[in-house]
Amino acid sequence: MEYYLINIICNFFLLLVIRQFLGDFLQFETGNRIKRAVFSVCWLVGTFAVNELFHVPVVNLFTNVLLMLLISSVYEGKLIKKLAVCMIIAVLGAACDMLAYALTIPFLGESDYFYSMALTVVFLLVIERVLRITIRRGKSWDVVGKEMLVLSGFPILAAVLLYCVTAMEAGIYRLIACISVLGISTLSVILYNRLAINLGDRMRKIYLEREVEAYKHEMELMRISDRKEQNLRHDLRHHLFEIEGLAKQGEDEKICTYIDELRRTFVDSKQMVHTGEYETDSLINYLLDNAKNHQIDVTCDIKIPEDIDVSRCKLNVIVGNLLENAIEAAAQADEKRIVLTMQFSAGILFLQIKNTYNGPVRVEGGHVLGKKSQNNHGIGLRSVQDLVREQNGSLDISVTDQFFVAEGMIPVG
Amino acid sequence: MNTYKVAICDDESLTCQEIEKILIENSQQIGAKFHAEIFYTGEALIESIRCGSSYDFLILDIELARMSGIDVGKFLREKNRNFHTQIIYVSSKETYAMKLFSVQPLDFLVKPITEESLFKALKRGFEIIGESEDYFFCNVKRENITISCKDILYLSSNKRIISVVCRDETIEYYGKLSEEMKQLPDYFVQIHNSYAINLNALKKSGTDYVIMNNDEQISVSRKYADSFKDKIFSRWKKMCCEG
Repeated sequence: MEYYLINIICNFFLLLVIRQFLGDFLQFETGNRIKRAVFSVCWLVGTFAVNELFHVPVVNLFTNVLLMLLISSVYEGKLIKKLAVCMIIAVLGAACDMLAYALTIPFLGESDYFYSMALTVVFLLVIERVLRITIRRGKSWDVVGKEMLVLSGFPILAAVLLYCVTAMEAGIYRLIACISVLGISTLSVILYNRLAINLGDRMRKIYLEREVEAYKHEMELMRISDRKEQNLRHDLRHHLFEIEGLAKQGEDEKICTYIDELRRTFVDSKQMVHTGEYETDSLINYLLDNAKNHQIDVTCDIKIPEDIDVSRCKLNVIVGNLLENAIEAAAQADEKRIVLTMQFSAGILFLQIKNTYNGPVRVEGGHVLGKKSQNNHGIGLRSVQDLVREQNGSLDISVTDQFFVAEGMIPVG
Repeated sequence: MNTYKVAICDDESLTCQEIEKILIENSQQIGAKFHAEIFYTGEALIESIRCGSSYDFLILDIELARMSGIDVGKFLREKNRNFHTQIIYVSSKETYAMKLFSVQPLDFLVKPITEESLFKALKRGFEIIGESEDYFFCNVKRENITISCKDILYLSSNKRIISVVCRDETIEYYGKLSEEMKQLPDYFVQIHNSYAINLNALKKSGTDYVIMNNDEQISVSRKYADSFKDKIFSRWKKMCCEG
């Protein structure tokens, strides 16, 4: 009875670990949840049945891989990649199994060797966590990589605890301790995943709120510009009359001055940027307006196609984050300056943001070190670097005597 | 002081005169002399180019009466296969369609054109034009050949045979690519064990490939990917951000 209970429970937790593994390597479509659940049950029943019927390791391995392949059918990816992933999981599982057995054999008798399965699950979980850190680092929104290292301590400690449990006397307490440790490890992983998703959602919310503010700002500027245009049209006859009068008097200088003033009514000093793409313009203009409110002198040179083939959302996150950091730093400097350059050439989008700063700033390995870097610059810059890397681009951070420089390039198309 | 030939093309005669005035009155300040020709239509400029006129710079309005500035740019690059003449687009608009970038313009200026913005663009052009006075020397069948670097698109190597692919011809001789790289200027960059390209002849760069001005696609190997990216980036910074 104990054997079957431990077997089923361990297989259940093993299944969760396998799904974590598959999620690390492949992309899951949320619409396939029901299919995945059905195939998971098939795996549970199939592996258990084959093991009980045949007790042949090769047959077990083959069944394991086949049924994992079935679960992986609800994930995106080529068949060969899925097969490779399933083989890797199976091999890792077999290795963990052997290690668990070797470690527990001094304590467990022939009749309760099955307790080593719990240790197998925990070992596999540790490996999965380590792989996840390596594979998923650098993908968007996964900004808590270092915290994952801490969380990986859970399954490691669980492994230690389980090892101790196997040394306990046989009985119900050993069974309960075994199940509890497995449960704690798995729950910690689920909790972490939820936290990471929530953090990602929170960051998205912040960006969305900022975009909404930027849109409101841009709408206001458009409204002001429309009103000026209407007034100009209304007063056009008067202006032409004035210019005609000055021309008859031969007052060329005064005509130029008059026309210059007229032209200035159209140029809204708040609208510095016109890329042709509404979201980008509204975001950058909103942030540059913020910069001006901090008495920061801003120079812009933006020449990019209005129909550039790059994810606008990601571009706005990149530029928005870098600009926000630049404004925050320049606002504290004695000489407040920001230089923003965005250009497109030979299929590459180039970007450079330079800002003055106050106080010592150290840059090491593309990361900013310093008191405030942990919470503000750290996360923002990290997101930007992840996003740029995701698009096969590069982002460099450097410091000169005068400027903090963030510059990057993204190949487009 | 170098002298540069400039074609100014705009259907507004006042704009043409204004640009010509800036070029002539400020030649001392910018350190160069200009010989300017004015055209009021794209067709007239194209006809001049067809008749053999060549220019260092085209200052070109985007919105012309019939033939647009884009059409003139396309004629220059695609029909005339001229990638040396630097195109500076001028416009009343501040937004630019992707098709404008396909002719590899040097810069975009918004009207009314200021001296500062025009000089900044011209100075970048001087750097690129100055680079085209570099020469590459090789020995083909015991004959010394001199090739202007501005004509070279890329070099390829196949079993010790170097092919220097130029705009109109390909020259082959025995040699080692790594040795040849030593005599090439710094805007030549190796992107593959067998390929070194001229960055001035680069039409488009993708994640792991480049397309040259003759529309040939060449792969960028992983070994050289990082150094290639660094080279492109530092070149852009030098041209656009410094000075």
